[in-house]
Amino acid sequence: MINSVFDKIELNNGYQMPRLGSGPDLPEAEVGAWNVSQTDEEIHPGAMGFQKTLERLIECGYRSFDSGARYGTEEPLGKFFRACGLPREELFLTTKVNNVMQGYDSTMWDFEQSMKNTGLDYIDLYLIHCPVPIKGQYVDTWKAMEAIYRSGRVKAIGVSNFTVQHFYDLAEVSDIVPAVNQYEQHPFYVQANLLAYERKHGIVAQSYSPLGQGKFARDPRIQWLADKYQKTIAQIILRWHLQSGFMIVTRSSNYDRIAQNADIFDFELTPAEMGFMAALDHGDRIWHNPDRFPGTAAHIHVEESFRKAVEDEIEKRSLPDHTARRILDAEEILLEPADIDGTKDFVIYCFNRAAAIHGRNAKIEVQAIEEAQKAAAEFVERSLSC
Amino acid sequence: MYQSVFDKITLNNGYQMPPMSVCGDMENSDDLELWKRKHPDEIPFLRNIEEYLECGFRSFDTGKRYGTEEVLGKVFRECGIPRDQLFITTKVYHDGHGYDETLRYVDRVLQKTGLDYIDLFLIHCPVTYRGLYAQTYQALAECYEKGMIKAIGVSNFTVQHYYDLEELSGIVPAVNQREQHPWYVQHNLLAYEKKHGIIPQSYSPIGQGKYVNDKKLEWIARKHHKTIAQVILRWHLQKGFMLVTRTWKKYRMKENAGVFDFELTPEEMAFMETLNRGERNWHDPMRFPGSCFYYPAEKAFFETAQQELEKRYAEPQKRQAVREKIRELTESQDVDGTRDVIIFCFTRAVQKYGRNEDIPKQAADEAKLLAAQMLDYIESQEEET
Repeated sequence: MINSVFDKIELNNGYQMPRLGSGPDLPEAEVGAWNVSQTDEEIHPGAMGFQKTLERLIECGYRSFDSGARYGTEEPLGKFFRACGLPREELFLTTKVNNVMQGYDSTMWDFEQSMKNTGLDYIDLYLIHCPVPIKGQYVDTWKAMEAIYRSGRVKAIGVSNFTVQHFYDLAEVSDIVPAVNQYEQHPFYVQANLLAYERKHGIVAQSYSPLGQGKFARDPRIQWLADKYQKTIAQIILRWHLQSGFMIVTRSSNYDRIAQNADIFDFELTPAEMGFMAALDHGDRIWHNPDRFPGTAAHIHVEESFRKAVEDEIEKRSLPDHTARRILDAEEILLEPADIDGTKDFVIYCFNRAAAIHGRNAKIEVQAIEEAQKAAAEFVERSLSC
Repeated sequence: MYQSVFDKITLNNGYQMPPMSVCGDMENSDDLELWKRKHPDEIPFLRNIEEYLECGFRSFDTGKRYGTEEVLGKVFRECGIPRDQLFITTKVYHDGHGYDETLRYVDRVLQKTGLDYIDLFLIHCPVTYRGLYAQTYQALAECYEKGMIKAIGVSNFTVQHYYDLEELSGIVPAVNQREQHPWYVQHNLLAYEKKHGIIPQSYSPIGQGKYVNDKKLEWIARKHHKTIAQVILRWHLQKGFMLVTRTWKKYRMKENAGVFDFELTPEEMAFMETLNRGERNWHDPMRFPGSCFYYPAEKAFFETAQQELEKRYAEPQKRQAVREKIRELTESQDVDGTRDVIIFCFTRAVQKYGRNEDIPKQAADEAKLLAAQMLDYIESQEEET
């Protein structure tokens, strides 16, 4: 029975990690322009500033904090760790290698940056943010992680968004089994094949978007459980994670919700109720498919190159206005995101095409841009011929 | 890459198999005898097989459920094509799991078909809740060692099921027949299979025909002067998968056989790679207990719900309102129509009794219990409001 917010889980190297964690965003006002255009208040009504959020989290018993090189929260979190008055060993910090910094040397460098940002003596858990399989660098990155782990400056190393294939590739070069895999998981998206691998190798799954981005927080089918335990549907779902042996990363910076999310240690779902939750899985993924996603920045660059190349092509052929408009309309259809997370198939195609020609490699982004330019010419050609 | 419909793929035990199989289905009939009684003069399926043979197909997929084992055996013995050029796959059905049952079943199939050996024997579905697939596999392995079967494999398996077989040691399955098409590629499962040399055999290779008019693939089809269906089938072959197709029409058979004379370029394969959306059209094998167990439980649930409804409410309007509420709570969320609430009856039975042979019966009992509980719950909610 998991009955305290302070209860920890033992990782496969013996290090202990709190089950409940939080990775709050840095509000836009505090970071300058991040990649959101709305103000934080619009996105998260009732959200608090970062410092206040951290204080509230500590107050509610959270001890594990999730960060990443690209979130911009390493520095304030480090400051907070040093100033909050709690002993360092009671706190837990996870951070991640930036996707664009994969590779042995760059990972070493990125880690030094993280150490500098946080100003801490050690980091508890260091993860590969995403395998970015199209670049095929995660094995080199893992070797760097291994060296860092051996230096003692991180207490455990793990991965994020990995699938079975990526685990196999690591296993070929390394004796260190990742301690954690952080990925999207909720009762509506359980990857049975992946879980089977992780269970066999003692890798703990850490669920991000544990409530499916709030999408399922009103599912009427779970209401009866909420009624029975006098909890919210969200709390029932979070409890399911704990009892399934998963760790949780929440993100809320809402005063009340932070407390609610931690108020899941005073009840227990029965085996039959766990059985009920097991019936809800429909493979409803909400975030990127890590097997094909090349990273946000790379995705944007290739899309922009394609658009630019189409415009150039139109100009080069000095096409009349109405034809140009027809082609640009067709371009919009081609670039419509087909995936739930907004990933554009056509952009992924440019990457796959580059990989089919050059193989997976670190320079794939540049090659994908070249392929996007070729594809743009072919696309204009095809549009004109029909 | 394959050049002709007669090319073969080598399984992990060295045995050779044609990459494209056809599934002979006795439409809407599990029982050949019954079918024969209804249509005493004709066996169209037999004619179907002959057409398939004419088109160059040599590999036939069957199973107890399809009721075609006997007919296929007859054709194999009488068609004049040497036995070693023909290939038959059959499967242990859900209700035939277990060590002794499987041994008996293999014997019966050999008798029924009149063949000396079966090329490939599969477990139709793991039927996880009963938990008998390991024993079933062991029995198949024994028959394999005796030479009655040339290769053994599984169907609808996931990594967890493979791990359970690993513990038995010995023979790695040669084939896993499961739903797969460009819109549904399970990377986690494929990784395991690649590592262990298990060849996936895709059923519903064109997603039940759902994608044959997909505009996105038109440019590839036009370039090669092929149909979209042919482009998709070719994708499977180039990925190294085997296929099971099924059709009643001869022109479609020819269409399916016409995928050996062209090759998709790396760019085109790359394009196909982007189509994966996890769009499953069939049952989720991890949770589906098999039709022959699912439907009885569903029936038990709704019959009990109806009885309870009549017992508790006299007013027709009230009844209608409650019926509506039941409908809402039991609505299927899955593409294949599986109701979560019925799956729950199975998982609940497993929580109570553990995995065992009698799970289907226990699940049906749980279904009755659950129907009554659901009406209690609806009643209690009404009292509150």
